[in-house]
Amino acid sequence: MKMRGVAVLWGVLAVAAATGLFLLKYEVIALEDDLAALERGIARDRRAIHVLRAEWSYMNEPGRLNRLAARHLGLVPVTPDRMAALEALPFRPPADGAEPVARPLVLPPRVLNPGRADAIPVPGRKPAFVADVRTDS
Amino acid sequence: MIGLLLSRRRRRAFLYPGAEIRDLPGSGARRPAHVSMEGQAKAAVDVGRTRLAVTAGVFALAFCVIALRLVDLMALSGGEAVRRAAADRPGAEAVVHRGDILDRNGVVLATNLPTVNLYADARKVLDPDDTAARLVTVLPDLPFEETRAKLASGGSFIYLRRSLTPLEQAEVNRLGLPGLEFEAAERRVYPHGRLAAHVLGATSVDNDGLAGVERAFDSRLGQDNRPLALSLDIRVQHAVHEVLSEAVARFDAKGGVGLVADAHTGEILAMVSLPDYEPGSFDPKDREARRNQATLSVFEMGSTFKLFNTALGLEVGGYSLSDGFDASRPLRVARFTINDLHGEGRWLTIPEILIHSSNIGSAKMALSVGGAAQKAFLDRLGLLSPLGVELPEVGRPQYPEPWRPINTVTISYGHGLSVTPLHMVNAVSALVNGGVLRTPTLLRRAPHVPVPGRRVLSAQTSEAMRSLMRQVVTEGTGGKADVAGYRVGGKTGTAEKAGGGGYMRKKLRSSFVAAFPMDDPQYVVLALLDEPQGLPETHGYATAGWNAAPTVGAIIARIAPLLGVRPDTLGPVGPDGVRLAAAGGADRAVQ
Repeated sequence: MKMRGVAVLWGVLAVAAATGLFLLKYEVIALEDDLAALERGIARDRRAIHVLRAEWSYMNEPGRLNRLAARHLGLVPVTPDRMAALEALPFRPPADGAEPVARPLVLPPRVLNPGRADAIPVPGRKPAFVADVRTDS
Repeated sequence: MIGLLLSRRRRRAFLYPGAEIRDLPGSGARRPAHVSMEGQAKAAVDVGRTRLAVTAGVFALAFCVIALRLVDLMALSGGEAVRRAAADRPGAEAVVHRGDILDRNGVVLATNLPTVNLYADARKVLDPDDTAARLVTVLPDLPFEETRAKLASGGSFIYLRRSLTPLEQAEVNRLGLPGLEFEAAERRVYPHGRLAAHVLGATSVDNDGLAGVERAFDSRLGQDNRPLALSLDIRVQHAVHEVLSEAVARFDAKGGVGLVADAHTGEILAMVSLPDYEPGSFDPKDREARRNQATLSVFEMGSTFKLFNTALGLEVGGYSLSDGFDASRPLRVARFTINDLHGEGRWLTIPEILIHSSNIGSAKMALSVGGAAQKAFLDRLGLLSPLGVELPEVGRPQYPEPWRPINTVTISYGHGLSVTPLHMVNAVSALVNGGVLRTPTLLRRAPHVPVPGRRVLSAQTSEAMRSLMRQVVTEGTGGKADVAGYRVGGKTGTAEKAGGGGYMRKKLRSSFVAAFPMDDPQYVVLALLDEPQGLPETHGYATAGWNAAPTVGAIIARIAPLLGVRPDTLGPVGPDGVRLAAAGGADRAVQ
């Protein structure tokens, strides 16, 4: 009866393969539907993005921004005298509580790192000294 | 089939060819029995066996092929999956059928939007009068008579209206009239309106380029959907447009031109020509408005040409800044007398000739260098041939042929030779950038990549021209162009317009060409006003120093902070080369 056993085995395998393929086929169809839906969604979103980009550009028309800024913000175009260099910034005052005696209130520091190569204070490196410091005590 | 096999084996009456070696009665499965046959019988069995083997092989092969094909069809969808995987994903295919046009920072200047066209299938229209009447209630701008005639014509495809808004489409749909159909279409839109009209040009109702970049890159925009990045900076364009419009209105001019170009790359950052038009409603018949005066019109530029004349004297004539010419007496050439507008009436050095804009001095210098050398030098600066800018509207310079001494004299101060304003900007860029002439472009160049050019001037002459242009502003006729901190240098030019067989004293064309900052010029700016009028506050003068120069000054004051040019009021640049916060704009990448 060995022959029968082999035949049954093959039959079972064939049915299993057919069923598997059948199920796989339907799963693939379902996935393809999902994919098509996703692709439609992507295409729709891309169209929307395209239109929105045009609208964004329209809304950001410089003349319109100019009018809106003038009406709501009171801003004016930047002029050279409204710019300041980083070098002109005052140093950070020392932490409160440590020494309240020498608290600099200077706006433009008159001397920056004399004798040092970098005119701009590097974080973590203390300035050699700051001259002309006004103190409030 | 299995049963059949078994039953046959049980009968033992017949053996298939070949079976005798396997399943003989009484023998074990492992030990095949040996049967000997002789003669004819053996030959017949051999033949049958061979035939069976061949047939079985063919069948096995066929079943294998079928099995493989089944797997292929069911699991792999016959190669379709592979094809689809290889094909472009939806993310790559185009939304619209014409590429966008962007500015250098990625701002959309022109794009296609999906829309619908309304057309009529007149064969299906039941009652043209009623249909037209009801259609007009929804689309009030549709002419009734014309619509009725179209609907009654019997044609199967007649456009009634292009580019409906979604709301209009919904309302037409709601009418429920037979014979009215929609067609999906695209419409070119220009979100910034007339701001860059002459650069962009326009498109027809079928989205074909009619003018400007749309025409020059028509096939590129139609085939390739990648956006086209222009060299324009829309912020700079807006500033120039606004300032120039104000100047044109204030001085009651007929028109104007504003140009801003990068002195080192030839990129055009702003190009304004007034009057202009709405690209969305382009009217080819309005020739005045559609004419791009920055690149198509050629003008006698007047005294701004003295810049080239001075460079000619220094570069070709071998003069130094301390040399000079006697400008105390009017110069007579042929039957003409050359006079100075602001006559100093004395011997003038070369810097003074430029600063006081002396025609006599310029003419004498040009004569001493010679007409042939002058013509060759101007040709070297690109002033005698059309520019290779990416626009269909390119003007051809007009110059005298033959080049007589009187032409040498008039051309030395900018009369008798007509060039476009863009020619001026391009040649002045070469004067100030160290002496390298580059092709002007409307396309964005990759940042920090050196642009090839042609050396037309020595670095020393360029250096001298820079200081001379600065002196024109600090001491001469261009004082009103100065902007604190930006070290503007430039030259005024007031040309009398030709007409009626001569020059008209009252009809002027004033221009100012400038570069900034003068110690290392980054940008070249030009403003030109067509027939500006004198005002009480300009003491009745309509010359360039009173209108074009302050216009350029106002433009520079607006654009220099945008372009991240460091004003010298901030002091020298620190060792770290710290950039200003506002300086990021020019380097921002295109999306």
